[in-house]
Amino acid sequence: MLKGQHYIIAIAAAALALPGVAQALTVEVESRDDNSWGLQGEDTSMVNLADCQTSIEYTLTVNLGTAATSGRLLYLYEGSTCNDTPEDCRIIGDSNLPTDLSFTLTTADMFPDGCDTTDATASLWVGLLSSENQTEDDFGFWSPALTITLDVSGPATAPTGLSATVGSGNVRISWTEIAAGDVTGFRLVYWAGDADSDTDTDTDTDTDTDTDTDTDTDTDTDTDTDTDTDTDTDTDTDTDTDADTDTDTGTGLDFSPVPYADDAGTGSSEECTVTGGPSAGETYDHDLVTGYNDSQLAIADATSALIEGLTNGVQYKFAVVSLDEAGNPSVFSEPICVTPEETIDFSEVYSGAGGKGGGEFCFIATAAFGSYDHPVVRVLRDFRDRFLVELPGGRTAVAAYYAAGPSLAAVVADRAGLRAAVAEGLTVFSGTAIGLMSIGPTRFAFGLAACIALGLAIGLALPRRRRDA
Amino acid sequence: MKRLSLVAAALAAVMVCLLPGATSAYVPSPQYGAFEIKFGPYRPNVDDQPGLTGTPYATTFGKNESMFLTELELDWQFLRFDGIISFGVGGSFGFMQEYARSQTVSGASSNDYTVLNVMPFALLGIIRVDVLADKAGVPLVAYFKGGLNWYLWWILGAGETQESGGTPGWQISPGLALRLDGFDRMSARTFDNETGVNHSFIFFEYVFAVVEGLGQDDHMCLSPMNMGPHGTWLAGLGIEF
Repeated sequence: MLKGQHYIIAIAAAALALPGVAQALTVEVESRDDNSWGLQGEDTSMVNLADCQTSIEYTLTVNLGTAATSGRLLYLYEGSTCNDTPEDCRIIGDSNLPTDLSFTLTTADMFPDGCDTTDATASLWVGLLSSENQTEDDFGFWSPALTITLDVSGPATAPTGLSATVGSGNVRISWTEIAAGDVTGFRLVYWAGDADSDTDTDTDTDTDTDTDTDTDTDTDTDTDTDTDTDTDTDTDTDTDTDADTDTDTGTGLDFSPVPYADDAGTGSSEECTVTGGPSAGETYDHDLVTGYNDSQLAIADATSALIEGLTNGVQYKFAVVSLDEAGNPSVFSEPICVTPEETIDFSEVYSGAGGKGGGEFCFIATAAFGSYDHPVVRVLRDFRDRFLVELPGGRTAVAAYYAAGPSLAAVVADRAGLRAAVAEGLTVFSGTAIGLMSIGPTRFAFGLAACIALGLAIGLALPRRRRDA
Repeated sequence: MKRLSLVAAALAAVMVCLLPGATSAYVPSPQYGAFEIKFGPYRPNVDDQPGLTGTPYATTFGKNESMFLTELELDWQFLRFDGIISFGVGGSFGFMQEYARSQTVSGASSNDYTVLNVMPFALLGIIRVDVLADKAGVPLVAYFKGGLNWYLWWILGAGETQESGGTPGWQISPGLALRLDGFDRMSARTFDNETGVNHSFIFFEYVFAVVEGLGQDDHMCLSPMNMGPHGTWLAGLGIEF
């Protein structure tokens, strides 16, 4: 979120007023590492727990202004009043003038006592001096102090009362509203069970049974009876048991802060088969959760979040932390395990009840390509659902297509040459469709309207000119 | 004295205005057709389709759930006996939608929605009886419509169209319109002179529609059920121009 943004932290306005400062010397934080938890504000001088644990880097750039550099070096000090008593400060960086005008430092440089220190501050000073000891250079130049605060404590209250409702590839996690004033948002993390986390049972049982029965009866009466009974029973039962549950990949998420509005059934949870992940009350360990971007739910009274892009049939373990203004997390909530499931829409209920009357969809493209899942057909479906129906009159156009499509599709399907031609045409068109989707229906509609208006204006203007002429 | 003169002048002005022929005669603009926008509830009888086992519509959307139908209609009055009756043909189309939470395969309510969209199209013949409004001063116009329907429907699930189809049918619709011209006759006449709108009216009509495939049972049944079998009502606003 913050990457690439430039923040001017210190301006030399006050510099001239400070004792020992002769000329304008300014320092900017040119960049800082991406803060994966994000800060609520733009206060780059605040370091939260995530910044500290990952030891993010700051790059400071010095603007020398009119300061004379001859025989001097740049030093970066950390301490309370370095411009007066540099000997009491730590030098945490130096620079080779005149080419190198920047310092790169980590939070560990600024806070050597580690991330456990509560409410620590680091005051940074840049001095342009002939030596590191200012007492030998009373005419050195000093920047104003840049104060950076370490805030590592999160909200006291973790979300409680987690419940979940599922959809196809999605889960909505809800929790009890938190009234605490220091909560400014929430972060929800989940751990996915392995795609093969279904328990396979593997049992090998071989049973072979051979039964041979021979019965011979001979009598003297020249009666010969010979009965041969041979029974062979062979039973093979093969079952494999392979308990395989694999979970460890912490996954972050990007969810939409949509207030939970209507009823999606009662919240549910399952017995967790997902191993790993946190327990209730466990401290948030930044290293435990990787791979997510820095989005978070910056709504203090949010009570739910919808997580999409999940895989049906895979169990996920979810937990929520509340965040304070600095982006520091509370301890974990009680985790909850849920498995998204396929859902049954009305078409399936209707068809399942024996309902008839429905046609195909994407009729012509499906006929031309032979498959509803052909990549081009997918593009065209996307085009219909994301672009066409959003245009004014788009739904009517789609409806008209549905009315005429099946008949046209039947014609296409029956003729190989036509099928190939239509497939080629649609492939070309799918490229246009991708382009139109990237423009978006709203911009396209405005652009089209502007073109029509321009055309009308020109069209109306031309005859008038001719008449005038 | 001066005050008395003013009153006399005002009375004279009123008298002049009330005299027949004192004002320029109002000549209505020619009338060609009508346009209506109307709304009403619509609970389709999907579950009445022959051969269905179960009640898929009631199961999914609820037994008594009605859609909200919005419809536009444009008529051409090709034969007019001014002030008595008119005959016309028209077309209409509308849109209605019902949605509900999809169920999970294990039977629970889910986060996902499933949607039934219906777009009714109709070709209609229309008879409007204007005689009461034009000759008897009663601002009511009775009318009767009848024609053929084509109801286009499509089902959404997981954000995509899952299935679609069309159901043909027929309908008859008696109705009653209340002309609004009389509430402000001057404005109505000005409106006519400036825009060509002869009358504006609100109306209520009963719709008896059999949208079940015209005898073929392989179509989704979409007849209304709000006022008895095959019946519903629509109300709206219209103009004749």
